[in-house]
Amino acid sequence: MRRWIRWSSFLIAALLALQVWPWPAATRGFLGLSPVLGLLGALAARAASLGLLLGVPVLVVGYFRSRWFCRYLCPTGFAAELVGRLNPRGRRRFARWPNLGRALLALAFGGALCGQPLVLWLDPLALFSGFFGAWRLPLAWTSFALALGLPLVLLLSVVTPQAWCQRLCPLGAAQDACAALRRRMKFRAATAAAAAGPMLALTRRTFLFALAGGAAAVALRRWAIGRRLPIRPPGARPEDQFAGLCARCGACIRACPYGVLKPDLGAGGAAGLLAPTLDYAKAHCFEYCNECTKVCPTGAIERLALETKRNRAIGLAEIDREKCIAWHDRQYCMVCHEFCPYLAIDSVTQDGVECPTVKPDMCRGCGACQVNCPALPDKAIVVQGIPQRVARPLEG
Amino acid sequence: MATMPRRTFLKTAAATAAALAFAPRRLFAEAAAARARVVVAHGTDIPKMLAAGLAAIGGWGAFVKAGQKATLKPNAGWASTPEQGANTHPLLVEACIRACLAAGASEVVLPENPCSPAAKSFAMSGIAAAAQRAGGRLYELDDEKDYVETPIPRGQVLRSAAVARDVLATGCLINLPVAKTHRGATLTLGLKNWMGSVRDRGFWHRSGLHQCVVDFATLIQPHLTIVDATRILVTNGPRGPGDLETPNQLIFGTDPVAVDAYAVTLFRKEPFAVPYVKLAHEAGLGCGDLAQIDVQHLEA
Repeated sequence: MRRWIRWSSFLIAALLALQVWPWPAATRGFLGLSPVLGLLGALAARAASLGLLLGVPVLVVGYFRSRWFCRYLCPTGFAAELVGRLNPRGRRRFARWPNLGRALLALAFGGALCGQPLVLWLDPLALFSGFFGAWRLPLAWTSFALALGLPLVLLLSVVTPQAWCQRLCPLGAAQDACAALRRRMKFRAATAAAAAGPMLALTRRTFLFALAGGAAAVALRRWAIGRRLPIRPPGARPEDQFAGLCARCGACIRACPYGVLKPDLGAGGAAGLLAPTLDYAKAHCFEYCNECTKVCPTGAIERLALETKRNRAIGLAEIDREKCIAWHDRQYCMVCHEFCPYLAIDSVTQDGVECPTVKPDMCRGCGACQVNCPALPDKAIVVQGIPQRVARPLEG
Repeated sequence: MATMPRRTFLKTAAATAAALAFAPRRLFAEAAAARARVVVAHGTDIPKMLAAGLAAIGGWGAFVKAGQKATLKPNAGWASTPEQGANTHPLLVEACIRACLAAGASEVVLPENPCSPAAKSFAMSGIAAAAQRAGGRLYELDDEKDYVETPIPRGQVLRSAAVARDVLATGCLINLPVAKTHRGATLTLGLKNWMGSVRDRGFWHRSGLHQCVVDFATLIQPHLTIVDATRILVTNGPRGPGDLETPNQLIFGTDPVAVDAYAVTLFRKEPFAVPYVKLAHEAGLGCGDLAQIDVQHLEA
């Protein structure tokens, strides 16, 4: 029976990560089952929503049934166990390791209190989704960059079976914390020492880790953000938070029907590595689409209604007049104006030829101009990242 | 010098006079080839306007070859609603497809290289639904298989282009542009509408847009052009949203330059204020001089 549940759970998780069903909420719901993603995300962003609270039932079940989620539902744990069987002699080699998972969880908790939960990307569901989620055709090597997590976990599981689940996984540690709480409650009931001692098993070590997490979060938010802001999906939290809130699960990258989202390869500073960024090489952020905002399990990308998304500026287009075929070559062009969905391109007449200018209050940074700019070899109009803001709505 | 007997002369003269008196008017029309002809149907019922205009210009039978494919080129390039005026009106497209099929076309195809993502352009413009209702096949041109690299021997700048296969080889080619402003090209009308049938538009912009439009017109001459001027986008074109005016007209013609020249006047401009109309006229591709065009107005 358990085997059936685990196999079907694994397959369903894979299909959800691949987003073969047209329900973005399902993908989000599956990832949201991890309280590490949902609850720590909500804590860091100071914003709760139903989707972020899906992890609560998992914790409650974990309270009554030790590591129930791990034993029945976790696809990463299942895969790790399967490959672990390849090396039966390697068992228990990790027994003397400290419980890094608990330390990571404490770090993430402390970080989340300071707005940057640091290690959400170590969540097993995020790793699993990252493996499947960023795959899309045609394959780009950026997809592989995001898919590295799960193979590393599996590799570790071949070398030292069970080490990941028992010693590293923060989701496992979160359930352990619930189970420990239950044992403590039972113990207290048995000894009838009702008023004495702290409720939570908050050791000094855990507390120090949380403190270190908070300090690291503050430091990262201040210093690990690149000078040039990358273009993040509409609804993304401010860059200093986004870099940590993003679990690198790849759900948004996969959800983008136009293949605009790519893993960031360092343009946004070290903290933002592999987080989603918009690449206008082939397509732009389409004005009638808000799919990426529907799938984020951590709230790093806020869910935006289509109208709100249409008015959210995620970047600002800039014209290089030296490269522009109207400004520089006096050719009739204005393709940027033609393609702009938001009437953000204006023009001035020079020698009888219309030459483009950008209206900063109207520009959403969607990239329609950049994709279609016919200038060679470089685009004459390029979108730069900005702190996201609300742009002036179109009249009528 | 040969002499003609008086009797023979009289006979010949009488026969010639009789022939001239009873000759179909057509003979004279063709003799006076300098004058182009444009038919303008006014009204609000698009299918009725289409029927009236076509009747005046020779009927569908003059254009559609029975048993052969007919290709329509509406402007279905933008994710924009019919009311916004960036695309050809779906009712016009629908009526044209029906008429072509009724005239015996084996199939009606509508190839398009849209600007917005195809699925959304085709759906929002209402043209996908129109084509489906009427039985035409609207499709997005595929970069790999739907284009044919074609030399343009008379092109000055555009010497070759990857052109939609169905535009090159068809029994009947009908251009169905919508008239609207265009910040780069001043106005977009019939001649410019063919940009939606080529793969690489960027070259046109880099190399002289107006000359490329005209170069392409030396290659592709539609059998018929019907300009949708039921409503025209007079600001923020070609995409809008912008201000609309409602001339409530459909403009018909076999001379693509003459049709465009008349359409320019709806925007209160001289035809030659649009460089590609002027260049096309000068290249002899048609008549852009309003003084040389007979415009026939109909109410429908």
